[in-house]
Amino acid sequence: MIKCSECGYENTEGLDYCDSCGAALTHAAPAAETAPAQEAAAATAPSAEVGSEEGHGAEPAAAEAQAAQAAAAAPAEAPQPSATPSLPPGSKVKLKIVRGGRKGQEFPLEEGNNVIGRFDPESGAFPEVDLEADDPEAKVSRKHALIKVENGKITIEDIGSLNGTYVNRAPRLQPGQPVELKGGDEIIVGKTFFQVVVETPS
Amino acid sequence: MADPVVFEALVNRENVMSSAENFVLHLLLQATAAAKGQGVNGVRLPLNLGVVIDRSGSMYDERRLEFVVEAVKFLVDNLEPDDRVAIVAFADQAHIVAAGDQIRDKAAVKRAIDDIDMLEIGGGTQMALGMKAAIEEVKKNLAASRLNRVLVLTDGQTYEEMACLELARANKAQMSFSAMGVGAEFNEKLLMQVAQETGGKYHYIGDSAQIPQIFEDELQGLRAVTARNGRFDLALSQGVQIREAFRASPEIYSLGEPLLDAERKISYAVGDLEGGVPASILLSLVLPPRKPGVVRLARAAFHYELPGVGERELAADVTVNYTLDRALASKANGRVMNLVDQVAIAKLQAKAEEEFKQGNVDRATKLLTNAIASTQKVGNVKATQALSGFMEQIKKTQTLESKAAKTTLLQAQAVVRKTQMLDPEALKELKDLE
Repeated sequence: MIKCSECGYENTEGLDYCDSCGAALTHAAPAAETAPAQEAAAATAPSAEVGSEEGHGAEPAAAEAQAAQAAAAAPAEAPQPSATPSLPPGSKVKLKIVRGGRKGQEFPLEEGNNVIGRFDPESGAFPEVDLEADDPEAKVSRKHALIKVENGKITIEDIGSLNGTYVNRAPRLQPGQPVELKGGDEIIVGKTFFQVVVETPS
Repeated sequence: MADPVVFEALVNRENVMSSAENFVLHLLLQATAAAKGQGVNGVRLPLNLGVVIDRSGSMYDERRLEFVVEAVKFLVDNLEPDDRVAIVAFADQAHIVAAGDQIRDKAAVKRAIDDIDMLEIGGGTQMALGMKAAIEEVKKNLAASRLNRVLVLTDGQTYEEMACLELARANKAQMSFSAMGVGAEFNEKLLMQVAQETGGKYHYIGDSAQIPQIFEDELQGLRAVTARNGRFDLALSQGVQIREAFRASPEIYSLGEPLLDAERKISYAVGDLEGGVPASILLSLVLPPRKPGVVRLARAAFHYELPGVGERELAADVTVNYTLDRALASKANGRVMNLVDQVAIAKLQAKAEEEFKQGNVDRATKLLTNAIASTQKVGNVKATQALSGFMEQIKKTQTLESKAAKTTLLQAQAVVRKTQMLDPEALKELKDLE
């Protein structure tokens, strides 16, 4: 269960918003260190039924689950799948091309500012994420978007691109209005589709 | 020929933790029909429409009736010889302004529309009478090959609300109902149900000058239909439950209590598909704990009719991998999560409205505050403004009785209801890439 930090309501695992007050839930690592409940005779039966099928089998599982919960109560090092993610120290953030251009190509992002754009011959500046090679039709502006990795958060903002920056298929970003990113998010710049990849230290 | 409809069944997490607890997983079912001219035959579907116009006294405020007359005349001008449109006006009684097949003489129909305010039908609101007359007219020209729809426009509360809903429900197999509410005094719940339960659209019209555009949108939408009678069919594996079901695009609204039949199956009809507009449903599933391994959660299918060709079905298996790898299990599908976020906002707005109507102002405010935090997170500026506007109103007036309060509520509903989809420009880029 995930306890809502705002109202204390106990929510089912996997939820991103509190069922009671709607606040974004921050996930601790689910009780996953231990193996799951004992072998179920019918692999499809939900946990309640499993407990009743094997009488004394239920107790060790319950004790294990409780121990795992206690362990999980300590600050989790797993990356938060959603809500307000905080990057654990030592995390690596990358953009990976998933469509268009050099599919599979990865662009590691540095702490601080990362400009997405193309090489600017006038100033000689190379952006951190240079799409010159992937953008033959010049749909990417020289200074297209800015990704900031700081204080445990990743944000992206459009810095005045011509063709727009899109996150998770939402309408194009307003220039100057940063939006928060998390692992798995999709960014479209020109005709290139990126996925945000977060690697945490294990 | 490549399939003109793309069907996707996506879970928000492909890998989930193998643990000792039940947990929630979201499943997105989405069907998108190709637009006309993009590999689809482009069979033209003749229309069979019934337009129901409120001619109660309040329709003379803010030039409402004037704009409706303009809108309906525009509609008539843009119909083809094989289209049919019946026009009905109602107040205390209903009157057939033009029968379905009189469209052959467009000039005469337009003259009749101009004379709407001369009709001696009283000044009250008996919408059921208007709907009944329009339904009878539409039935006279009913055909499976036609797009059969009743458009209802009203600005106020009607007598016999249940009768209106029952008429829609009784006839939804043969026609869809779109409903337009103008101003701040109409019953939005009634109009929403009439539209959402029958495959039509509900429109909130705050400013009467928008009426002609809404009629134009309705017409364009009908002309853009390329696949008909879409339906998602789902067969769930043992142990998997559905806790919630929402329509997720092009609009967001609850689909009510999910009820599986004896074979653990459930179906959701999504009406006709407009080319290029994804129809989708977001289901929140509850999965049991399991040992590591791939498991099939459900079999999903999308059933539809291709005009001039016949029935088609696309199927997909929905699987998930239970794992002990936390890093793997933390990866989420950004596209699905974006819809999860938008549905969460719509739910909060509806809940806040309910709490407020019950007099729990503090609780309503708390829910709205959390909704606004989410709209800011997803970068939906319009929704942030609309929800903030609604919240300010209820803090100020503590009641929904004033026009300002009702208007901000209707605006907030309208904004969170509309799914934020990919920009048409970016969609074009997508098409180029394929």
